[in-house]
Amino acid sequence: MQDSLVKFFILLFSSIWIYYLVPKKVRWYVLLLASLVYYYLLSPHYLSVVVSAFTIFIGAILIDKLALKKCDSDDKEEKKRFKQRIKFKKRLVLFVTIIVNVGLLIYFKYTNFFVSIFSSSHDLLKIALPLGISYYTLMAISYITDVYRGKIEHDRNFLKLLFYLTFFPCIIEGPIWRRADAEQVFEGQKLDFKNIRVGILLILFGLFQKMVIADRAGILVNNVFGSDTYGLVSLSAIVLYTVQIYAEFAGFIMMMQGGAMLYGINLPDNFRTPFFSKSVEEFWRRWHITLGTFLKDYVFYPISLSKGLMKLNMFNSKHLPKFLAKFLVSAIPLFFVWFLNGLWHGASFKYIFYGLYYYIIMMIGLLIEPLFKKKDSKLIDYLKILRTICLVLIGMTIFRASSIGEAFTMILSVFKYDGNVLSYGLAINDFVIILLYILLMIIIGVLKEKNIIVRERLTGGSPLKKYIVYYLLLMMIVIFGIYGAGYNASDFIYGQF
Amino acid sequence: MKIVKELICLMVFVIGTLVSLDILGKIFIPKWLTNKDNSHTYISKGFYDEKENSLDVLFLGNSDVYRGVSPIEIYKNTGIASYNYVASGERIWTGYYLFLEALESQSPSVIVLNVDGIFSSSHSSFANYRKAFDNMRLDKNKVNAINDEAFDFNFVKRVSFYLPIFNYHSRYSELNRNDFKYAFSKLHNSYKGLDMTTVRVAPRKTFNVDGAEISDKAMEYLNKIKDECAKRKIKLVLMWLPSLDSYSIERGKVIADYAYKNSLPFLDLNINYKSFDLDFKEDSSDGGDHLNVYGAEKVSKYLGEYLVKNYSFSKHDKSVTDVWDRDVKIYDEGKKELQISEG
Repeated sequence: MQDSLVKFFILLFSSIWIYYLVPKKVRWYVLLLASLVYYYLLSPHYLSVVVSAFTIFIGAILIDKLALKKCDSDDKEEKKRFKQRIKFKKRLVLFVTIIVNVGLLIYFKYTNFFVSIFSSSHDLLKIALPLGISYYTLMAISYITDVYRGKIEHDRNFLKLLFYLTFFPCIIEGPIWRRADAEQVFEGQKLDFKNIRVGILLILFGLFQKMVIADRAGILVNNVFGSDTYGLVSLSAIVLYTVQIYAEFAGFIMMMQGGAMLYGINLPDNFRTPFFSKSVEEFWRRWHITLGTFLKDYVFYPISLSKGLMKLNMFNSKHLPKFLAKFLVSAIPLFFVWFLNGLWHGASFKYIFYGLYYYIIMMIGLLIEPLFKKKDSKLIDYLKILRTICLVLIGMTIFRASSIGEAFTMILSVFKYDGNVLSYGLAINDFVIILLYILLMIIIGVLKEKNIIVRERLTGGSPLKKYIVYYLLLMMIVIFGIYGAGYNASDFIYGQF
Repeated sequence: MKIVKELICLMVFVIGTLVSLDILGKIFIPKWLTNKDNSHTYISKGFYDEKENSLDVLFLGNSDVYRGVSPIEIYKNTGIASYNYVASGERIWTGYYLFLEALESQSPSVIVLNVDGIFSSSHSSFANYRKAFDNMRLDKNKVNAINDEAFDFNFVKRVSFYLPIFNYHSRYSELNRNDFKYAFSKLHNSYKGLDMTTVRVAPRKTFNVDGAEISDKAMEYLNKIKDECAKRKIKLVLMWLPSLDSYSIERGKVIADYAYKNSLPFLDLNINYKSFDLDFKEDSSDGGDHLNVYGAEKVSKYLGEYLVKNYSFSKHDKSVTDVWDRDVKIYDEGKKELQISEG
């Protein structure tokens, strides 16, 4: 198990007693302290997150103060000019705040990428990436933008914002929660055994996904990617990498949700059976949901509704064929969404290509959509799901490979027959475990699609039932987990972002 | 009331889980039952099966002992009941805890300590530590050993000694009948700690043995054994079994000096091994490091004579001799079988 996860559980189980012992109104201070301790333990570079919290704290106060300003004049023109001045100033504050935060992200995460583009030198600058900067920067942007849009009021307590950005279950891999979601914490949560029951289940199942499935699949993936393999071996690595990243990311989020739930806090879902999607667009509405909704709310809509694009759309609707004009309404803002999606995942052209790969697929889908008549049948739905999975497998290969070239070499190698899949670190029983997991996830997914919430079914009713489930999960983790002698715990894939 | 009910359920769950982990650990610990894996399970578990206070002599040390001393041969010649309670690559700090553990159920008159491993100041492999302790009962000696800084076990390793399943969980695909059969049952060792082999490998090279210093750490544990023996009025004998790869005249002198200063007898069998007809060409199983059963029997004959000559032992009652007589037959049959299978 990773150091970060061990520290997470130590903090979680040591702080939870204090949390429920202190009065409700001050419970969040316990969480703030735990979050700061966790941050300090994992990364000494905490200045950036403090600066981030401070800028949005000041920025939000300024925006709200500007919004409260009233024009003393009765003159309509004067009022209009006043409103425009205020709007401009608010925008300026918003712009500056976002620039500072994005600037920090660019400096810490992308400096070496830009240096490599504009310089022939291969020497990388030694810049330590602050823990969780990719996540808290987005949270900071969402906060200041929501204040600007009048959706929420500015915080009067700086510590509340610092808590929002550093809450320790969200700092490593998200979910990217909104400031409004965090309000529940400050209201103070009472001890609810239902939350504890579900929380423990989520932690155990998350741990199972990470330690039994993701790390097991990772053994073959690490042995195959980057080496010359063909046929079934390459295909297995591609499929298992997809299993690995899902089990790891979804498992991690589940553990964090479970941990937060022990405090009575609900974190937003990040996955909703993504491999049941009939299209790539749907997949991205079900995969890394909080990133998708962030990009929709804070990139897609602002660009779509910007004056420049509105004018361009008007122009297009008059001068271009209707179908093409309609296509461009989505195509232009979506380009930025997917470009930024790719870039957010990593500072390299590979990740930009990864984002644009999905963009191209979606645009092709939009362009050819009118050519196909809509037919509803189960078989067609299954074929669509299969098609989506195949496209996602290609996307995941780009994501995992060290370069775009390696990704395509890997994909093409699938069509050449050679190699024994059992020579790459996994035995038959390992494949059986992974297949059983896939089967289990399909069953859970089907039930979820039918609005049957498995976690509640398993933890409700008699205490015996839930403890049997806990017991079985724990034993499976202990016996089948990839840890200890002979195994090295792999790092969380999404932790690097 | 609801909280009380939840807490009771939680406690039952925690206790049930710990018990399960303990049971799983017992199943998953490898069962070292043959001379290919140096019979560690046989040696450890077999020791616990010896009748309480029935042993006259206890042999301590490392692999040289389980290959070089045959307690059955000593019994055949003298009627002395002895046992090799040792482990592979054993360091003196491991030996100290095996010594304490042995004294929990036995009160031997004489303890013979083979000093071969005393000059090793570095750690043995973690696997060797596991072989020494995984079949030991979880009692105060094991707990003290796990927590003794001499071993430098980190937190995770310490936990894995209490719950061995964390160390051996990946064996789930290789479990066999023996793992279940010997997880909870007693195991009688008719060879009394001898890891019998009939393989003959003559030495092909000369060994250069450097260094003749005993580290402070090793000396500390040697003194602890000496002091505990004195406290319990047990005669301690230092011995160096014939071994070409670890013995040197300088090292032998260092031990002789220590023995002289502390009024302990020292049997240096590397000097006089020819007097009991030991021939490394015929009597070694691996070219001079360890002895085979033929070498062990020659050494044991000599040791038996030495023990009878220098110490007095009371006679055993029939319940003990019956078991030993039966073990002699099993030993002889086992040796014959090995002679056929190993040559």
